[in-house]
Amino acid sequence: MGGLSGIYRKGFAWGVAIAALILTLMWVYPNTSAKISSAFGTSTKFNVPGYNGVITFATNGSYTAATFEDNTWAFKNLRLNGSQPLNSLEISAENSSVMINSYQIRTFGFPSDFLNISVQGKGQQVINMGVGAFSGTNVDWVVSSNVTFLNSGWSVSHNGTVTLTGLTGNLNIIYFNFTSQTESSHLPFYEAHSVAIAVTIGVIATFGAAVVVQVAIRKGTGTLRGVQA
Amino acid sequence: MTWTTPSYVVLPIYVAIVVIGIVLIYKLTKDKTKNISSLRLFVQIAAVFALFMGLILGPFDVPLYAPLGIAPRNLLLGGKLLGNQFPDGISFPVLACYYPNGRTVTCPIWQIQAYIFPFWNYARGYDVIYSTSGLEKIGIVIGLIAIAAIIAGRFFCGWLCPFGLYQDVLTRVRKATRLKHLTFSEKTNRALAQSRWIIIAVFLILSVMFASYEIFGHQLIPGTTPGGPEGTEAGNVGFLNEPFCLVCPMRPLCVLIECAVGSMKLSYVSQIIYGPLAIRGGYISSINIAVLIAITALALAYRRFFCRICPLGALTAAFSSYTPFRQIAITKLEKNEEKCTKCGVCKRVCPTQATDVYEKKGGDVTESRCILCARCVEACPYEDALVLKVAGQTVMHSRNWLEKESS
Repeated sequence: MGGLSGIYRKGFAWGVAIAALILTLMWVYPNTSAKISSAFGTSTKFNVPGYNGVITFATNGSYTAATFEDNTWAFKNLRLNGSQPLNSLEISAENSSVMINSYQIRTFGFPSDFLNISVQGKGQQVINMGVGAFSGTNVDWVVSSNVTFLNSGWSVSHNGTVTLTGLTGNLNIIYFNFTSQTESSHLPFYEAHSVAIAVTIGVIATFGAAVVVQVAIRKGTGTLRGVQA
Repeated sequence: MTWTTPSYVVLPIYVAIVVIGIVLIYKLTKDKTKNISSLRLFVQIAAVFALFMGLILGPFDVPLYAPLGIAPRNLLLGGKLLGNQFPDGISFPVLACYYPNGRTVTCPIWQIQAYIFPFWNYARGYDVIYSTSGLEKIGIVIGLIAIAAIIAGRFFCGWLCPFGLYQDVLTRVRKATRLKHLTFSEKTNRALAQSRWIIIAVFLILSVMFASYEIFGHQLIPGTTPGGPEGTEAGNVGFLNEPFCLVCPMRPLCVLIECAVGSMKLSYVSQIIYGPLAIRGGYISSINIAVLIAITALALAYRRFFCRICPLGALTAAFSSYTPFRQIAITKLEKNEEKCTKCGVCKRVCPTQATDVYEKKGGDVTESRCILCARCVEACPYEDALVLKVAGQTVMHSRNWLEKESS
């Protein structure tokens, strides 16, 4: 009996140890078991046969899922070499071929999501980067050709889907995530207006110091207005 | 696109060169009538380097257009220091354009126009969401100008403004060709000085009108939305919310500086002048170029022509040359009546044709047209007849150079 219970105790201890190891690994690498990536290359083509469109990538990369539905390719956890990861990208091309060049997220200055594509053929492209939903105002979105902001040839819907029509060449689709900027309304008054307070103190101090200087000069010269007689 | 660490080692080298340069000029210049001018030219050139320090410090290889990425200016006295309360840079009363990526400080005229639109409470700038109201930001700008002006008055115009340097160079070019400058009548010159206030008023009114989506329910320009028409972040109309910048002659020079150091491609500039952004002036407009040409021609004929109508100079003067600031201004030009012989040299050499220095009997002769360049101090041939004082201490004074020359 004693030997059996010893075996049980040993087995329990091993069980706890293995469970602890698994939990630790799951904590350290939470997604390793969940995602299996599929690789693609620059020659991989994602056809949109119903719309006579083709989607390609400028660099090698990977995704965890690529589904084709309603003439739209939906990529999950897309990773392009040299770009930042893009959790979700839905894209369709009609009478055109689209090459996805890069995706960048800027957190400095203008917080923005920045998708660079090259379009051949004057068709239509529908793109959703998974950002800008519920915003849907053109003020938050910009489509530029190189560095020129385009006034026409594109629109954006309230779910953040950008539709390009008749545009070709190198295009940037930029979403300015203004709402991610730090709101200061929750800060105490002196923190929310610290610059104005500092400048006000600066003005008062400068004015005060200038008055003191003038008084000292007048006392020194014995004149009333700092003007020599 | 690469991101390089700013080369802060440049700063101590720069400071050392400036200090050594000033000392050398002071020691080596023998001609007392050119002593101050040489020093001023050196300080003006050094100031241009300081104002565009971002182009020297880096980071380099950043996008040409700020909304498309990180610009060096963010590392300077702008967004990083003051956050989104006052992210566009510290107001400094010289024409140092907001737009160039390398600029260290910001032109207050641009800021006032941008913050007033529309009616003080538009939360979004070109690069940032503001956490403070436009009224508060305008207060900060005015406060910073007031501090600068109480301390140094229009010294900024005479010694630090890059456009002042440009005009002084034009004067030197004219002198080299042995052509004489023209002068305005006193009445015209005073009218030009008064026009500065009209210019400020007109551009502030235009800022509100052009940039406002609607005023009291009436849409001013059909097809516009707040911040501009659809398709652009700021929009066609948004670009017009700083109308003075569309005519500012300094703006093309800022672009020229950027192109000269390779921070901007000329093809990009020409695209903006002639391309789709030409009318709205995304960066510089054709109007900027035309005004620069006109001001260049006028500055060749009339010394410091633009300083006579400069709205920024007027704002600085407002806090140094008018009551109650005039009485407490720390930097002053003073005249000793007993030593003045009314020879009129001071009046003739003054680049802005300020007359108080000649006409006033004595004491503080600083006026709103005076840019404190100290040309009169330099040219005055009577010992201590004219004195430039800072906090009561003499920093420059006229010398008896006639006697020394004759002996």
